Amino acid sequence: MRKYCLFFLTLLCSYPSVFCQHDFRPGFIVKNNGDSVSGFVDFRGNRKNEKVCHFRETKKSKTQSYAPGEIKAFGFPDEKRYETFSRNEKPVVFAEKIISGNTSLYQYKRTFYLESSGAIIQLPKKEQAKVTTDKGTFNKISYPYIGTLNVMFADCGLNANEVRYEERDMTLIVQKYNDCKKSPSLAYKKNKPWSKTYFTILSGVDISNLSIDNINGENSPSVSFGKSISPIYGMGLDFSAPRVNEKWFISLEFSYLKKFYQAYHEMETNANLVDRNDYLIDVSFLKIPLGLRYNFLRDEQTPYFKFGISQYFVLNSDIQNITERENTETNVVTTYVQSYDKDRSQFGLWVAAGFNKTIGSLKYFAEFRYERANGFYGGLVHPNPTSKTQNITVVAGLRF
Amino acid sequence: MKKLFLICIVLILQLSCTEEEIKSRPYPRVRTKSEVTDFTGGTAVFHGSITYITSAPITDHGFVWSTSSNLSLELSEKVSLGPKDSTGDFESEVDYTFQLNTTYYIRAYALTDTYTVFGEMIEFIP
Repeated sequence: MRKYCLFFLTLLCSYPSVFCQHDFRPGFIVKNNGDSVSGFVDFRGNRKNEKVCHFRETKKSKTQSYAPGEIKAFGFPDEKRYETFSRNEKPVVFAEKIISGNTSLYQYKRTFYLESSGAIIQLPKKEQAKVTTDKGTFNKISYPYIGTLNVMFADCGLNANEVRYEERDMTLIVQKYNDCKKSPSLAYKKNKPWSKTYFTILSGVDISNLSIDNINGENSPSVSFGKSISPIYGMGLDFSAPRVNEKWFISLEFSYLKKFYQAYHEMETNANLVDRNDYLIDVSFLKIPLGLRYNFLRDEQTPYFKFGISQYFVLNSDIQNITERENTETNVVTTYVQSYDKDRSQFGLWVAAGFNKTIGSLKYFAEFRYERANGFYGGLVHPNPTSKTQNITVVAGLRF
Repeated sequence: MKKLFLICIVLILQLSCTEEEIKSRPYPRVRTKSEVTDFTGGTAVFHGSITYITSAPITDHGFVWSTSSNLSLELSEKVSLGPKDSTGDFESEVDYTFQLNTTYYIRAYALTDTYTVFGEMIEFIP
């Protein structure tokens, strides 16, 4: 198991180099004189794009870096657009321009701004104030953006009371207002869906180690079981919101796997008896991992990182403890205990690294997972020993 | 790529490992199977198996039974099936007048030159 852990750590350590890798995609910059230059722009998350723009005229040319103010705008066709943005006496930044129109919508550091007739209006999400009355001191929470939107859009009779502080709701109400004012407006990411679901099927190998402490009660030994190597089959769903963030996914999976653990333990007792114990655990599970996936590059071809929790449900189990007691007269007497425990399920934490690749119309993926879970042991002699499992899983599959 | 994918699937299917591997020990392993079949009052069939053998030959195997749970080759009823040189199931039709509604305890056994090995004890109530 140690070599798997080392392999996994090596894999993880290699990820920072991937993480720092640039992702140049077809894009453009708009110079301060209004000239537009096509080329390739580094596609990063908002946090990095708000600080600097890395631009190449061709894929192999030298990278030029622009700070806010050095260019007017940069972006990707039918995708994100960032503009140099001045917020009342604060240093200029690149803010994502979500809608351009009579009233434009920007987002910077998760705060939305409107631009109308040259004025920038910040839309604060939440304000908290302490209010003291004769009944005591209370926290008063208000949502100023709702009031601001109501006032600004009152001439079209739009009501923002139900508008949530998120890109989708903000986009829709600003678009509605521009439509009402019969002013053309452009949502830069309009071709991207708000949400997208991928279905996956997968198959792989699960290598599991189980250890049980105090297997026969207090002061009894800890027993390590041999590796269970078993196939795993599953299907899953990946949810994403490409218009808000195309690098993060919520991943849900349903897998079936059958594990077989075996351990042997020999113990000499005070009465010169030798106990030879065989423990056999044959168990099948429905495993449901739920996690988050981060794509380092474009979804079509990218390494990715995943982490999450998993819940196992026991579908079937057969647990046997065969004890052979040998006495000094070389008599051996066998006792046998068998149980079926469907109630005991496992809960685990996992991390994974993988790679997505699109070949033709099919999207393939391969993934390496490491998981630690509480173990499985059904009421034999002592029903509640502590146990844990370490699982290494290698899976490959299709996404569609 | 598709071929590689298919090869991987076939390999994965081959990987399942659910067979018990019995650790080495100096005596054979005997199991008493839990069912007693074909009970007719005067006869019943007992079932057992040898699941592990050593280099020491099995000189005798069979079943012992009694209404007492302290079973032994000397004091209990016994059916002897003779030597056995391989693993596998065995059974014996026992001619015996079993008392109705009485609990009988049964064990399979195997003998080598050094060891007397008893399988787990099962109960049988005619």
